[in-house]
Amino acid sequence: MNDLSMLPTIVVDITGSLANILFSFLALWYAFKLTRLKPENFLWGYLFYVTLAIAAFTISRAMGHIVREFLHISGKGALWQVIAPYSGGFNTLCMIAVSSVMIFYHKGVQAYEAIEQEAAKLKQSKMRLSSAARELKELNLSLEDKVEERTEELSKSEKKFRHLFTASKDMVFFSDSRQAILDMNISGSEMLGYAEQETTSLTLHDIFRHEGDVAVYSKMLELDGYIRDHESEFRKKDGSTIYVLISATALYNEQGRIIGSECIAKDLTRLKTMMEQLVSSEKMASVGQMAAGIAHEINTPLGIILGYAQLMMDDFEKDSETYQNLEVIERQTQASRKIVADLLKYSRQSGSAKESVHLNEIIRDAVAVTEHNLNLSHIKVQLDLSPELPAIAGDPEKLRQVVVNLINNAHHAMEEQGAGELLLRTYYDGTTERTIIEVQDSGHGIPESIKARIFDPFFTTKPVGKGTGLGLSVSYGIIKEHGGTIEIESPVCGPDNTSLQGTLFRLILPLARETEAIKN
Amino acid sequence: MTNRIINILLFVVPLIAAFLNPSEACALQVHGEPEGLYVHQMAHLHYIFALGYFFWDIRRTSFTGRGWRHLQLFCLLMTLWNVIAFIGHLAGVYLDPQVLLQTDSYLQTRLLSPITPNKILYFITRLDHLILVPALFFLFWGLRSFYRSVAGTTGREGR
Repeated sequence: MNDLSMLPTIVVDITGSLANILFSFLALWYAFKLTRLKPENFLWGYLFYVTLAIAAFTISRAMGHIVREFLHISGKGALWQVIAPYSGGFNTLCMIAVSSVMIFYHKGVQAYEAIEQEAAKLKQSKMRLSSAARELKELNLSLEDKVEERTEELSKSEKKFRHLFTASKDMVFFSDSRQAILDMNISGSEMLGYAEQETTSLTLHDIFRHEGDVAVYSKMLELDGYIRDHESEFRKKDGSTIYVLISATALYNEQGRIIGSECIAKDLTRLKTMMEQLVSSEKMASVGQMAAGIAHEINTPLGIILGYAQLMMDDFEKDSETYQNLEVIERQTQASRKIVADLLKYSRQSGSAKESVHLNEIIRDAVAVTEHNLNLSHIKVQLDLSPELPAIAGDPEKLRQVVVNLINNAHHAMEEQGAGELLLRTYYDGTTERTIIEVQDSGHGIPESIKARIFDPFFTTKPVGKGTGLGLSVSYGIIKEHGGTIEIESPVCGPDNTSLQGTLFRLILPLARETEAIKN
Repeated sequence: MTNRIINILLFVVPLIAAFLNPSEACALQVHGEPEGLYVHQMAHLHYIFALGYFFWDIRRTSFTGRGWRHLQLFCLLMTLWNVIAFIGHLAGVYLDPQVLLQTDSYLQTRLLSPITPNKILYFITRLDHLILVPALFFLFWGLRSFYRSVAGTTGREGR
C-alpha cells in the first residue's frame, strides 16, 4: 500500500479554520443584533454569550491551527513547539468555557420559563383585570344610564302624582297612626280654611266635627283596610261645618301594622245645600199646587158670600146692627179673598204682564211706600243702586210686592231693637249675567233651625193676626216665575269674612232675553 | 508598631524563601506532560456532555422554528466533531511520529505505509473541519433565522 499524503488535511485545516472564524463571527454578529433588538429577552442574551464563547474558542483554535500550519510550511516547526502548549491550553480553557455556558442553559431556561409563566400569569391577570375593568365600566355606564332612566321615571311618576295631589279639587291628606296630619293638599287646606303650612300641625280630632267620627274612621280602617264613600262632617277653622264624602286607605308597615292612612274627602256642602233646596222647592211646588186647588175652590164660595153680603147690606139701614154685622162679613170675606189671591200668586196661577222693568225704580217705589213706617221705627235706609243696571223683563207690580215684603220683614226684624239699618243694593254680575237685589237688615237674624222653612206657606214667627205667613212664599213664587232665585245669609258675611248681625236676602234675576226664553 | 513590623516579617520572609527555593515547597504537585492532553480530552468530554444537555433541553422546551432546528443540528454536528477530535487526539498519541515523513516541504508530508487502522483514524480525524465548519455554519444560520424572525415580528408590531 502507498503512503498517504497529508496535504488534504493541511488544506482542510487552513480553509476550515478560516471558514470557522467566518461563521462563528457571523453567528456572534447576529446574536449581538438579537440582543440589541430584544435586550430584555433572556434567550437571545444567553445565545449571545454562547456564541461569544464559541467565537473565542474558534478564534483561539483556528488561529492556532493556521499559525501551526504556516510555521510548518515556512519551516519554523520548532517555534510552533514553543507556542503549541499555550495554544492548546487556551483552546482547552475556551472549550471548558463554552461547555459551562451551555450547561447553564438549562437553569437559565427554567428561570426564563418561570419568568415567562409569571409574566403570562401577570399578562392574563392584567387582561382579566382589564376585562373586569371594562365590564365594570360598561356596567357602571349602563348603571348610570339605568339609574338616570329610573330616576327620570320616578321623577315623572312623582311629578304626576304630586300634580294629582296638589291639583286635586278634593281634599287629599295623609295621616299617621297617632292621627296627626302629615301632608294635606292645597284644596284641603282651602276647604278647611287653614293656611297651607298650618295643616301639618292638625290632627284628625281637629278636623272631624264629631269626636266619635275619628274612632269610627280608625275602626273602619282597622277592620277593612279601607273606607269607601263614608259621609262625615268636618270642622272648618272658623268653626263652621262642611259635609264631606270620605274614601280612605290604610297604610301598613312591613309587619302588617297600620302606620297611617291616605284619605280623599269630597266637599258635599254645596251638593247638600242644593239637595235641600231641591227638596224644599219640590215641597213648595206641591204645597203651591195644593194651595192653588184650595184657592180655586174657596174663591167661588167667597165670591158668593161677598156678593150676598153686599146685596143684603142694601136691604138694611147703615146704623142697624144687621148692617154692621154684614160689614164684618164683607171685610172678613175681603180679607179671605186677599189670602186666596196671595195663594194664587204664590202658585203662579194669577195672571201677570211682563214688561221691561228697571229694578232701581222698583226699589225706589218700594222704599217710598215703606219709608214713613221705617222712619217711625228709627230705621235708617241706605240705597246703593248701580246706575248701570240693565233692565229685566218682569211684572213690576209683583216685583214691587216682593221688595215691599222683604222691607216689611226687615222692618219687623229690627222693630224690637228700636233702631236699625236697612241697606238696599243693586248690581249686575257680568260673569253670570244676572241682576241682583240685596236687602240687608241689622235685625235679630233667622235662626238656623227655621231657615229651611221660611218660604213655606203660612209659616210665620209673627204673633197671630200680625201676618199670614204668605209674604215670603209669595215672594218666592214671584221670583221663581221670573226665572230667578232667592238666597239668604243670616248672619251676613261681611267684608274680610266677618260675620254681621242681621239677614240678607239676595234676589238673583236673569236678564230680559233670558226671562223671555224661560217664559217661552 | 514594632510588633506589627515583626508580624509582617514573620509572614513575608518564609514566602520569599519559598519562592527562591521552590524544591522545598512540598505542598505543590508536579504536573507532568500527559496531564495537558488529559485535561484537553476531559474538556472534550465536558463539551460533549454540555452539547448533549443543550440538545436535550432544546427538545424538552419544545421550542419550534427553523432557528431551533438549526441549533439542534449545530449541537449534533458539534458533538460529532468533539467525538472525532477526541478520537483524533487518541490516535495522535498512539501514532509514531516517525510515520509522518516530511520530504521536501511540510506540504509534502506523507503518512508512511503500511496504513494501519490507527493511521486511517489519524488521517480521517485530521479532516475534522469537514464537520466543524458545517456545525458552525448551522450555528450562524440558526442565529440568522432567529434574528430575521424577531426583526420581522418587531417590524410588524412597529407597524
